[in-house]
Amino acid sequence: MTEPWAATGGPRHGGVADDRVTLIDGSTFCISERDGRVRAGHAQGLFVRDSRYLSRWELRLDGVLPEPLTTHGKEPFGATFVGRMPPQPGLADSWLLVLVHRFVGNGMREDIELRNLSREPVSCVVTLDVDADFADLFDVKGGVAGAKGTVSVGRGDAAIDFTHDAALPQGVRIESHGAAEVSGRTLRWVAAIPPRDSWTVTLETQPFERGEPLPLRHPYGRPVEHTEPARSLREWRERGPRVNTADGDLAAVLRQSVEDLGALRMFDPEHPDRAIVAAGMPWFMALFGRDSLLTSWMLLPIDQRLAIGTAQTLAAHQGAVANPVTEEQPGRILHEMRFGQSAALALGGGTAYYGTADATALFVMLVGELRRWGLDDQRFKELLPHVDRAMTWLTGDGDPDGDGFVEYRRATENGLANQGWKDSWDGVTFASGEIARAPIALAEVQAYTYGAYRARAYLAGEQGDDDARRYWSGMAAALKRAFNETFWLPDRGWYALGLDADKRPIDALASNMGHCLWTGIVDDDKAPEVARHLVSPELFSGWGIRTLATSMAAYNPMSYHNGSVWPHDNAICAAGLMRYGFVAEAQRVAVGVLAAAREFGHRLPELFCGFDREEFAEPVPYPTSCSPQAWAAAAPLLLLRTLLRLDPELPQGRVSCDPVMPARYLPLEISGLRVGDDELTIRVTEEETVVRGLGTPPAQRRRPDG
Amino acid sequence: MASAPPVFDDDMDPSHLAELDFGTAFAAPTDCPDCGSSRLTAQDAGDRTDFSCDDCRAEWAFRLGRIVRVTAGHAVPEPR
Repeated sequence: MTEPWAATGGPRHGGVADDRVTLIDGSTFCISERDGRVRAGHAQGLFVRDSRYLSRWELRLDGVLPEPLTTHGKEPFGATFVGRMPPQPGLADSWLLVLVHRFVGNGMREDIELRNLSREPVSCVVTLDVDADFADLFDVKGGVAGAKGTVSVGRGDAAIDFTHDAALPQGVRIESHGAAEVSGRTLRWVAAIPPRDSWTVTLETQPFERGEPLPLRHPYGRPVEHTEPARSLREWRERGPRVNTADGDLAAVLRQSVEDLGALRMFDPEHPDRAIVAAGMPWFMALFGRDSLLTSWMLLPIDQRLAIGTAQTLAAHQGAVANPVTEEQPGRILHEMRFGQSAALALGGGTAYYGTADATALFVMLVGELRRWGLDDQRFKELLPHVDRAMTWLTGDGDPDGDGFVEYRRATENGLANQGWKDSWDGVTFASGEIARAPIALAEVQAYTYGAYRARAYLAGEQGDDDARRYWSGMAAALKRAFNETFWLPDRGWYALGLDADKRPIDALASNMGHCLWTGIVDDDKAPEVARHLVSPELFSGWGIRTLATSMAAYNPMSYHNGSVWPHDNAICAAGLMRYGFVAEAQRVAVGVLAAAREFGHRLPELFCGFDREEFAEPVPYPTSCSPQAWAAAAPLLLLRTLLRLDPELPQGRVSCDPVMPARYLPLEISGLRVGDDELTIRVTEEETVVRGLGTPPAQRRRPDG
Repeated sequence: MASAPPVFDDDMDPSHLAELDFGTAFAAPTDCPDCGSSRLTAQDAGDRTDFSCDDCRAEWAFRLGRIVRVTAGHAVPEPR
């Protein structure tokens, strides 16, 4: 599991081992072992603008790896790896301390210090073995080794140069500031250290693109600036909602959610006031349409800023023309975009890529939900035209064969083969394991489209446009009928994962139908079967609902999308179960995921392995999982809302709250919850629920047996 | 006659607190940490957005919830 950055504020909690350190600055990040080593053949290295510039980095003293002691650092871009020379045989103690101060940013700088703590002089041979393969970031993440093209190694004065002969020439220079011998891929020094003294050397790793060096953010000779928490700079802190609970783990998870989402905050240079977040660290430090839409949805009861900023930003970059290279289409909401001059290098020429089947419908759903939470008229009027363009896409380019289902097929070989959230190349398979062939109409995409139709109908009704309300309500009803007729597999008792190119139902049992419960597209008479399957041993691991059932041929609990557990997926499924009244099932999923959070130090990762809880007492990490990940960080907030059964209709002056919190979290009080012009306090005990802040006297409800 | 509204007991015992302070977490920077000026301009810095103080010319970057000086200011006017 990747640790976001070295040694954050408090001690880690829980039994899951952390064995990686990740440092990050802009589009540069470095993943290493806890001792600072970058091991060849692993998903580790120094990455700059999506290429790996260092694939090996191993420091040795007299041929031996230093023994790691600890890792220090509060900076996201820097850490100090503290180690010692292993003791001589027969001795317990060592006299040689090894300090490696590492800083990343457009490359890397490392200050190595050997400190002789003894009263005798010490001499040792220091070697650094390095390598560079210029592999693509996502190839490394996916376990594909090496780069295309040849890599040559050259020798400079106390430096090693790697050059990648490819369409976009790349290079990297590793230079020692301090005399060094160079042999192949090894730098070598002889450190003669007087008693109680130290020896230092600085190394700069500087990438080159098209022959031009990138300017190091922390060059040799310049002191490294230290950071402060951004929140500490604000003298006046806006008071947000507060949750007070008997369960310390729940409180810790919620606090971590705030910290992690704040850490993922991005800034559009043209609109820095619009709150947006990157999808996840380190692999997805960009704006992703689907991820940011779902993340901001999950926050809505607590905060609207992210939803508003996200909707405004995605609207500003909504597709306007047809471009098969980027898969832009008029009205389409983007899949991924990056800001800044270097964005084009990362996305192969453009700043945005539009190959997603679900973000457009989710955008409409979000605007509708924002309005239910009281979005002001001015911003609503600015967003409404974008909503209508999105509706045009859903009923036009999004459904090219006109069968009523939104489907996808990539426009070029460079696009994503799968354009739902399970976007692995093998993320959509039949029960037999056969990979489905595009165009594919995914079940959850129809669910979101149904949600979009209903949202548009709601917005129309709210504006007094009865014709539009009837039209979109009719579209929703028609889609629901068609979906239930076409996707339901009566002999299986579950919904098809999707329809393939030949309109065959993709018959795998997967978590996707939980999203169908969420938006309400599932017929009432089919919901019990869906609920039963979602919490069956085939899907529910004890920690959460797996992406794919154990009985499916493609099931692999250690895979990205075929048997793993994703917190955001579970939060949506739990919300869906609760919507249809499956309270015990929803509670079971929520409690399982929150229990997993505890084992990950209260920070839910992007995903974890789908092994059964009865087999492993702790959830097994997925090795290249992002952490923090935005929608995983937001998932506990959706789980909280689900258990509170909190639903707004602010334009109509209504809010409903009917908690079914498990007893372990009680008593629980959420205060300062802003709902329109009111500030609510909701207090839940085992005997009753009291809501204060909406009129006098406070609404009070006792449990039937109380 | 209506019963008196319940009194909320702030001494929930045991209790653990989570402040969901997303306003602070998501807020854009407003004041230069060096000189206190509110004239901060967002700048495209390649692969990230930095903030430049129009008064003292210091430049700041946000890194995963932390703020760091990119360039020191040259002139520090009187705090406002």
